[in-house]
Amino acid sequence: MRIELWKIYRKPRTYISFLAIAAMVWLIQLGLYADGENYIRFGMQSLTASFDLSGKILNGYLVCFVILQTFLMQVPLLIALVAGDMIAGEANTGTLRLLLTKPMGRGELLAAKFAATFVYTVTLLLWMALLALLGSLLIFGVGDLMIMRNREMDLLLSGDVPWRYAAAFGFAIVAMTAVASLAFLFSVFAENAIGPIVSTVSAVIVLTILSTMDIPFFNRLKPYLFTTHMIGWKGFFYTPVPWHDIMGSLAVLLGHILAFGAVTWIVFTRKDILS
Amino acid sequence: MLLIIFALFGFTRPASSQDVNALLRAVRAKIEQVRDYTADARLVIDVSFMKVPPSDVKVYFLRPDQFKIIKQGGISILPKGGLNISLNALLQDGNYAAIDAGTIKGQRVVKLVPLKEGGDVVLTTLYIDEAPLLVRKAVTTTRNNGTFELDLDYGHYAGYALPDKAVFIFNTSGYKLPKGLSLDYDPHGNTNAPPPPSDAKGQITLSYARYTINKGIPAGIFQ
Repeated sequence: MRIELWKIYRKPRTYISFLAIAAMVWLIQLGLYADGENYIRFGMQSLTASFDLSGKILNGYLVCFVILQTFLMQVPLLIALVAGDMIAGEANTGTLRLLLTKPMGRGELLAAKFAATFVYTVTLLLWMALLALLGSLLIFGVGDLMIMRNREMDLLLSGDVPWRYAAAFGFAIVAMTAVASLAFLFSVFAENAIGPIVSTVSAVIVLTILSTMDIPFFNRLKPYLFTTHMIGWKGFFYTPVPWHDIMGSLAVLLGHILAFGAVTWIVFTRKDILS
Repeated sequence: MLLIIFALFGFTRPASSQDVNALLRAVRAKIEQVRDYTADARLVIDVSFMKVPPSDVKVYFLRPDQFKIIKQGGISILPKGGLNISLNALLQDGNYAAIDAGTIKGQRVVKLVPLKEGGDVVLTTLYIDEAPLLVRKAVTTTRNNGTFELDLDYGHYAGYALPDKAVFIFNTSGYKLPKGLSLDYDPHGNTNAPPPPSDAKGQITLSYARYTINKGIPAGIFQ
C-alpha cells in the first residue's frame, strides 16, 4: 500500500484536486466576504418578509455549509480522477502485467490499491474540511447556523454545530468511497484512465438527476440509488437528527462499496491481463 | 317600548364607557411608570416549521413602542408585527374608542377600536384584572399580520405591570418560508414536505428572569 500511495502522491494530477478544492473554497469565501450580506439578504428575502431576523447570520458555519452544498457534484469528479486511474493507468503504461509478476495475489494487489484510493479520498476531504470549516471560521467567525429547507427551517446553536460537521465529514468519507469504488470498478475494464473517469462522472451525474427528479416512476428507484444517499451528511444538520434514515443511507452506501468491490474482485481475478 | 330601549341605550352606555375609560387611564398610568427596561429572558419558539432551540435573550423596550429581542452572539428569529404591538402605544389618549364588553371570569373585557384610519391594528380586546390594574390577555387583529393573542402572567414585577411570562400565540398559515435553494436530504424520495395546515398555531414564550427598569437603553439598540 505504501508503494501505491507513493504512486498516487508523486503524480502532479493528484495535486490538481487539492488545488481545485482550495481555489473553489477560497473563491466562495472571497465572494461571501466581499458581498456576503447582500447574498444573505437576497437568499432570505421571502423569510424577512414574514420574520424579524437579528444576529450574525453570515458566519463560518454557514459559509462552510454553502461550500459543502456547492461541492456536491465536483468532489466525485476529483475522486474519480485518481480512483479511475488506479488499474487502468497501470494498463495504459503497460506495467500491470509486470506488477502481477510480483509474489502476491491479485486480490492483495486490488486491496492495496483500493486502500491507497481510500487514503487519498480521506486526505482530500480532510483538506476540504480544513479550508472550508476552519478557514471560514477564521474569516467569518463563529455563530448559530441557520439552515433553510423546503418549508422548514433549522436553527442550530453554535455550540451544537461542531459535532455535526465532524459527523458530516465522516459520512462524506463513506459517500465518496462509494464513488471511488465505482471508479475503481470501471478502472478494471479500461486500458486508459480517461474512460473510467468519464464513466464515473457520467454515472454520478445521471443518477443524481434521477435522485432529484420528482417523478413518481423515478421515486420508486430513488431509495436504491447511491446518489440519493450521498447527501445524507445534511441529515446531521436537521432537528431532530434523522438517525434511522442516516443509518439506512450508510448501509446503502456501504452495500454499494461492497458490491462494487466484489464485482471488481471477480472481474480482476478472472481477467486475462494483456498489458 | 322604543322609548325604553332608547332610554336604556342613551343612559347606560355612556356611564359604562366612562368607567371603561377611567379603568384604561388607570391601567395606562401604571404601565407608564416604565419608561424603558432591559430584561433577561428565556425565549421558547414553538412553531411547527421552525426548529429553534430555547435560548437566553435580552429584551429591550423603550416607551411607547420600541421593542427588540437580541440573542447575544447568536441569531434570533421572530414573526413580524405581533410582538411589537405595545400596550403602551395602544392606550395612548385619542388613539382608540373603548367599548365595554362586560366581564368574563372576573376580568373586565374592553374592546379598543383605533380611531386613526390606515393603521395595521384593526381591533384589540383587552382582558383586565381590575383590582391590580393588570392586562391579563390581549387579542389584537391586524390588517396585514393576522390575529395575535398575548397572555401575560405577573409575579415579581406586577407593581410595574411587567409580566414574568408572556405567551404570544399567532396563526402560522400567513407565514411563508422560502423554498430551499438546494436539495433536501430524504432517502425515501419525498422531496416536498407537506404545507402546514391553514389553522395551525404558533406560540412564542418569553419567561423573564429579571428586569432593569428606567435605567436607559444602550444607544443604537433599535437601529
